[in-house]
Amino acid sequence: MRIRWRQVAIGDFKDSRLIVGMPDMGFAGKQAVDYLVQELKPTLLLEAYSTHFPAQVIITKEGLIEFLKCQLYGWKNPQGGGDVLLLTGNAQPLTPEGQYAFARELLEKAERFGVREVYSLSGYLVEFRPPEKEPSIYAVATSPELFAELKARFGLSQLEKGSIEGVQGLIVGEARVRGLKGICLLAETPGYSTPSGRPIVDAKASRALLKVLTQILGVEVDLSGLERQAALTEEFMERVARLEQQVLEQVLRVRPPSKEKPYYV
Amino acid sequence: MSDPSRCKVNLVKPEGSLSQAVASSPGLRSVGWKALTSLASRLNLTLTAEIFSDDFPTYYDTVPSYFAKPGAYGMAGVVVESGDISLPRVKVYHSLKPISLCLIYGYHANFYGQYEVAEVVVELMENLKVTRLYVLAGYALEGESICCAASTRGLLEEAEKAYGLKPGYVGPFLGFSGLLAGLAADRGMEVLCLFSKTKPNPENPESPDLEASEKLYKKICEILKINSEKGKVDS
Repeated sequence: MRIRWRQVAIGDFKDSRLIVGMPDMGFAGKQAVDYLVQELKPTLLLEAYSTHFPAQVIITKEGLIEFLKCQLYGWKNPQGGGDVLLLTGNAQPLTPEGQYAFARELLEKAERFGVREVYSLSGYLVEFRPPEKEPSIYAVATSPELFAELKARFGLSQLEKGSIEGVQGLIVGEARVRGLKGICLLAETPGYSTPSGRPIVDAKASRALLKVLTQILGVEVDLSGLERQAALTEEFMERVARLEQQVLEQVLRVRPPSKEKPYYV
Repeated sequence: MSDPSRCKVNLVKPEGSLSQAVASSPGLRSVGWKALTSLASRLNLTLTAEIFSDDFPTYYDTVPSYFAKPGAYGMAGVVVESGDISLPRVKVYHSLKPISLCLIYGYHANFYGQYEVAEVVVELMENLKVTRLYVLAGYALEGESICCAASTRGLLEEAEKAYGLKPGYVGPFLGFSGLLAGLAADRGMEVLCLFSKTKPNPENPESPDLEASEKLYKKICEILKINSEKGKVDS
């Protein structure tokens, strides 16, 4: 076990739903949970870091040293109907050993806060998403009955085949082992990154995830704060699409496609 | 952590408290490392502690050495210096006069030991009652010849007001020095990182840039109120 947890506050939560948003494709899941933290103003319960996190810190634009860690928050639902636990962070373990340990320990902690359902939010990598298109949401669940319910109530499509890498996938698998209900929601994202490899936040995918999640949870959250970020994402993706088109046209001008068939392989 | 520690610490506690520490490790163009060595030459140092780890290679699978990755274990071995052999280690020295100071010579563990080594060093600093840590390193972006990063906004304000330092580097700070800064800040220590501008050398990323080190050395001397005149960064 290579995770260090620090208790920041204690809380009494009942019938909780755990929402997990780790750094992922387009930061779709992480941004969605960060937005919930910003809007719901939950209580910070626990902080954790792992020796399997990247061996680095981040220096921010403001010149502050940002240590890599995850935070578990708790929110008492004033309407009743189940409290909410929120897990976000600026890193996740890089090794399978660290990812398993993290997922298991997180569920152990969440069970102490009365967790009964686990929702993991993530991006789903697609080659291209037209800038004007609303990202499709796919889902997987820990049982066919649970997915059938999601499909009937929210019209979600099932992810038929593949794998969901990282803690965001593993946490649902571990939830199933523990007999908890688990759902992973995946939003289409092209997963763009800067030339230096830093991922571009896809706020449009985050907004799409939250539209579905808040309906499932029955929790009202004002999503207007994400609108500006989503518009920026759309603008950026339009620029990238134009650039890609220009590059393709240039390549075709320089090397027009050969009409002859290759005679060897 | 429930795992048995893979670190060993030999500590000789100094007679006196050390409120400040300066740390560096072999990094980008060895800028911080050389500045630390020059600072050491201005002080009367006593060995305080040595930290050994099963995760200290002498041969790294990654270039540069501080770019730790899962699966890149490296090879263990001994360090040979002037015909003498020793195990790779983090060395901690202290000086009580003319200034009470702790000096930390870092060593990069492979991916599996970086956090544990940094934790052990932070615990050691807590043990020695260190409350402020200066971390010396290089950076390779356009900007001021020396810029800074800090654990708090208050410390950033102090750095600008007292020493004319401003933030300038944005991005990851890798390896021993970065983690030490992060962990120390996370435990409530005041941490000020000083980055001296250098040009990267992709063929030999850790080859020294003595000019950048000299500037950093003078800045840390100014901060610590040590006469930098007699010290000189040499290769």
